[in-house]
Amino acid sequence: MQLKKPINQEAKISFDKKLQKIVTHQHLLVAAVGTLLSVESTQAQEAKWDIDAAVLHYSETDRVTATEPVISAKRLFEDGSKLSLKFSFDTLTGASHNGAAILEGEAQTFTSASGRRSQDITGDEGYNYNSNDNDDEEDDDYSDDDNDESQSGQKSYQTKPGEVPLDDTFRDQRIAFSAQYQWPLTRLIRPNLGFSFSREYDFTSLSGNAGISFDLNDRNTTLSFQGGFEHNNINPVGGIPLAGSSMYQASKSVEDATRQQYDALFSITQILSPTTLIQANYSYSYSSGYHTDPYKIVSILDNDRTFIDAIFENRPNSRAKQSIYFGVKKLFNKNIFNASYRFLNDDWDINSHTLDLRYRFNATGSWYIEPHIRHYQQSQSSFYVESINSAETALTYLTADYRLGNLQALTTGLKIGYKKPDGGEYGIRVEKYSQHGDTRAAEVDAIILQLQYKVSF
Amino acid sequence: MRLTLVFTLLLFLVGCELSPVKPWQKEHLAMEEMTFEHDATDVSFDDHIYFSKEASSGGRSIGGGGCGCN
Repeated sequence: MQLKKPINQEAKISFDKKLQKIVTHQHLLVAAVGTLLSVESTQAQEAKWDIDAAVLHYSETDRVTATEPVISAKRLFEDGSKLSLKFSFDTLTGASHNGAAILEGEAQTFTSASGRRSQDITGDEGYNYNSNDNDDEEDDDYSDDDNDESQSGQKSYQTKPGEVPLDDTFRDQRIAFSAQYQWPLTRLIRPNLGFSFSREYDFTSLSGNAGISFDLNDRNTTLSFQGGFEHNNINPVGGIPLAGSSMYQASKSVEDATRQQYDALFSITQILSPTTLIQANYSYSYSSGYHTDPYKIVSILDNDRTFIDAIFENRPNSRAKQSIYFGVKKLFNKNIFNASYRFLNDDWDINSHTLDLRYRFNATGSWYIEPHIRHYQQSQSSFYVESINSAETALTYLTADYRLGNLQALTTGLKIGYKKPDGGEYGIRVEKYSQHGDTRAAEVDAIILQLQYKVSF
Repeated sequence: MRLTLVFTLLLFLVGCELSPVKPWQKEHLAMEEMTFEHDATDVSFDDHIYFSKEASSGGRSIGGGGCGCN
């Protein structure tokens, strides 16, 4: 009896384990079927609208301030097709670097773009000003509160010695609308089409895109091919300035200019594990036409950095750029790690590296906190200069726009979100963005504030 | 360019080597937060800011709409 007892106990333990296994398997099976159904149900969706309303406030210290409300709506249809619509409106005011060099020893006076137009209208330079260009609204786009207007009608603004030359006459408003539609051709193949339109007082853009995605390897791999075309019309205040001409001579070549852009993107998304997703993209973009910033100038200085003149910049008529992009999403318990890296290279000799890291702590079922850090670094374009001397005016391409110079930028911030029990979601994001480059013109600090509300019905 | 090709091949190899994730293991991946399209609004705000302040743009997707800010 004493000998049998342990055997019985062993048998009981063994039986218990078997039972436990069966129960566990049943649980797994139930869980698996449930999950399968839930995954399938997200694919054969019940129709619903997802609305996302947000406003962004971007504010640089002493420079640009922009506010952009956006509303986007996404409709999932029962057949699995998806329609996304987005409308945004943004206003921008403040000052931006005009490209001129910082001079420690002397004050500088610059002509504003509206001043150039004033002179064109007077016909002093004999330019053929087109009075039918329907730009009445443009009169409101430039403020002249703090600017001088000379008898010739030329408007100007001043920069004190040692200060970054900022054109503070700038105002901008932009509306943009875009639509994307994706539908299932078969269970594994999804084509998509889209277009977008945006309009500013001096810039109009129209673009279209098309693509197709294929699911492979038990839907663990998705290949996607996308192509896009964009047509831009640039219609600056005062017309297109003659590249290399003095800003004080008000030389205008034509009223407006165009730029076309062609994009191609190849993407692979791979499920690595039940909690890990990665993506790799290669993209190529070619644009031709007017790439110059019509409001940017380059200073001509003599050897002891005394001001001689300021001329309009000139950029090449084409740009080819390519980039590789890697993204990863990984679930740790309930938290989500999200990282991406992009390397970009173009034929203006710019190379850039962008690293973006986010970690979403899902604190409870309702609240989440997501810290974010982004680092960006670029090398300067082949035609970037801080300023030139009089012998260098023969250079074909020139820009002193710090955004084409050596540049580093750091973004740090936090997003906090709250999901309501009824499905709505609030979000607030606060971030700090800082740029550093080779000159003080590139020293920019900004605060990014975003408020958001999402709802589905 | 060479780097891209090498990475693409590696990705395929990794994809083939690992045992495929079964549909019933995709519960977490079905979460909206686990998709690359999540937070599209944040991403489009960021793209707009960085497009206007830096020389690089794109890489993630196509079809954002133009801007005269650069």
